[in-house]
Amino acid sequence: MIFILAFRNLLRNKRSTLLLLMLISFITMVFFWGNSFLSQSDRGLRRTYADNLTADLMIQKTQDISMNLFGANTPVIDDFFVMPVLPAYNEIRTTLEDQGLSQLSAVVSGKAAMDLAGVRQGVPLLGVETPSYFSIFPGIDLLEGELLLQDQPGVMLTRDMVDELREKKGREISVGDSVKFTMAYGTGFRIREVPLKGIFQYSNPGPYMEQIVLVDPQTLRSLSSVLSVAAEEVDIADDTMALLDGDLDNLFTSGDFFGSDDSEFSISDLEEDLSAPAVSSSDIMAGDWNFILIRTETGRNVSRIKKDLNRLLEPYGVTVVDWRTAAGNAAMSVLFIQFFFYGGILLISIAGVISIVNIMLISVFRRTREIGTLRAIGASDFTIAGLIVLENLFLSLIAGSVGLLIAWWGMGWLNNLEIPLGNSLISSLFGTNVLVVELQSLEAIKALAVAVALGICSAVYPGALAIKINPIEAVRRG
Amino acid sequence: MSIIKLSKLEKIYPLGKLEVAALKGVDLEINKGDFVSVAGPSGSGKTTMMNIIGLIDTPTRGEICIEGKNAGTLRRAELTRLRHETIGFIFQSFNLLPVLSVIENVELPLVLGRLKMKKNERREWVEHLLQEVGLEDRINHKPSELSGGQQQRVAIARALAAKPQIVIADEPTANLDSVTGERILNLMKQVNKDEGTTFIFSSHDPSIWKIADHTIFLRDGIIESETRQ
Ligand SMILES: Nc1ncnc2c1ncn2[C@@H]1O[C@H](COP(=O)(O)OP(=O)(O)O)[C@@H](O)[C@H]1O
Ligand SMILES: [Mg+2]
Repeated sequence: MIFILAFRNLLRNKRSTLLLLMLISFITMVFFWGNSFLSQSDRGLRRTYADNLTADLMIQKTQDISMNLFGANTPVIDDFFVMPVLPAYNEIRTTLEDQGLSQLSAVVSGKAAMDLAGVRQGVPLLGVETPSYFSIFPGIDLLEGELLLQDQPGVMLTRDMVDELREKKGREISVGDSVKFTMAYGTGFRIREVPLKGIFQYSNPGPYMEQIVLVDPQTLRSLSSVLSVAAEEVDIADDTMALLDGDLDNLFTSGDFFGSDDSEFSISDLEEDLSAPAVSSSDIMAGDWNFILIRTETGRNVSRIKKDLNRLLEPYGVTVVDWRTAAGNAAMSVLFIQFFFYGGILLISIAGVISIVNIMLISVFRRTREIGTLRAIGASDFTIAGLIVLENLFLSLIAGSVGLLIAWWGMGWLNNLEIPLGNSLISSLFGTNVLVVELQSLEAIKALAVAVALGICSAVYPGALAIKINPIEAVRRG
Repeated sequence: MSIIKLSKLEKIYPLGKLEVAALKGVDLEINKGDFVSVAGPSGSGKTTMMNIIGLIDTPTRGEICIEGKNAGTLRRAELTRLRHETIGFIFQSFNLLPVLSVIENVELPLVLGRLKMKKNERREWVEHLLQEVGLEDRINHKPSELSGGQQQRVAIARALAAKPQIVIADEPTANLDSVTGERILNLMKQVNKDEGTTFIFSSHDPSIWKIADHTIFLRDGIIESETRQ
């Protein structure tokens, strides 16, 4: 009966009901769309980075500075940054395999100046363990030549980088050409020349990913190993530590510490880094690695594995991080977008709740006499409050469903347009080259839940006021 | 035995900076099963007294006891329950819920309370009540589709639905023509005889006071006289 009463009350106040319907369905729509975009971009970013670059989990040496696959997350500290070598590599590896994690690959990471076809540029280098590296990264697609082989010096470049040199600069580049890497350190250089083995392409590359150069690990190690033999360089390392440990205030005030605003992705700073004499990245020895990348089987709970591994591996002084951390700042950008989106939704919701509450209040005031009558014939607080809540519940369920239907249909329509995504940041956000947002029932349920929560929340205040209406209002005139 | 007892009842309404004393010390006892009329000119305090007896308003001073329970000492929820279980209210302007049909309006008090009644049992009882008030062929109509007299008959059926001990009717005939008004009162009298329900109705119309077997004359907020037959 109270259901009937609530429902018919809604039907009676057509105008306010319609207004509320539109309001709630609009909020539901915005929420569903926004959330679908976000979860799509979450999946897209995952595809871009986890499939191509970081795998699902990454093991790094535990340390104070937050670090990604290419160095420290803070660009300036990067100048002094020494890529830490993984301690107890063999023990870690055994532990991982004991845990049933077999899809592993170790990498060394560094930066160098690369000379190819007469052009010099700064590049991020990944010295990869083969063939495991190529088996855990299905997103790497070989276009020309062959994959790197174990114990053979060689380098692989992205097609985009090669095309840039070929087309824009008009250079002849083919597999077998010699590529020269130079790593500078305080008093000298270390130079290695290796043959170009293959040209590859990342599936849906993110920004700056075309600059990544894959080499055999020994080449990268030997470029970096100078540090371990040059005594004076050890001093520099000590200086670095002293700087880092020392007066931080002094550091922050010393000029261009924050000069580089470009915190998007650490690779972006390479060009600058390498134009000045750089401190080479590591004192790495044969057999040393900087990171182990882990591919987990699909369907397994990655954050759970991460937690377990962190507990198991803690004694070795290493930390397991997820692909987001491993990818560095680019992957974090989606978090910012998410943050702003939720902020926006929150604002819209607050405005929505205020409007809904206002409309409900008017409808409660208009029915003062009726509610007084209900009281006079024996309705309890619970019944009166229940009536108001029910009205809003009906309303929000209907409005939520309507909003959802429209949103779902609209999204389907948008997907059919297959709008191309030109920009690599945007396309890496969505994980595809055309704008297609997967319609997910989980997001639909979430949006409906938000609508219902909104309805119930905005029934609280009018409900509380309705309870306060005295039965005497039933007979009051006017 | 008295089912309603008022002692030294006062009601003062604030009116801007002034105060209006609507009841100035009313002592009254009403017996179970009585058919009571509260008489008096307009402004004498009839409505005020009916509202207090009906537990929809509270006195400024004094006591009201219903079935021996002092209403002033009850908590809000207990008051709601007492109101629901012992009192049926018939309003001068009917106060039916416009969105509910005739039969739903009458059923409503049964749904609100904790009276245990099966659904078909409830229907039967409500249909019986509507038959008693002569509206069996209007049960699915909306209140707006009925005449004033018909609406007041629905209100009577609603007031009786939860089988209350006391039915309060403040000027139940004021919005009706005299023939219809008399019919309504006779209907109430009938129920009073059949069920032993205590009825209290107020009126400023001397021609209908005679129906009652206990008449209370109010003037300026005090009881001027009482007659019992
Ligand atoms: N809500 C109120 N506020 C102020 N004064 C009121 C109110 N209700 C009634 N009164 C006053 O109290 C007195 C009694 O009114 P009422 O009980 O309605 O008398 P009756 O029903 O006999 O006409 C009148 O003088 C009336 O003006
Ligand atoms: Mg009156």
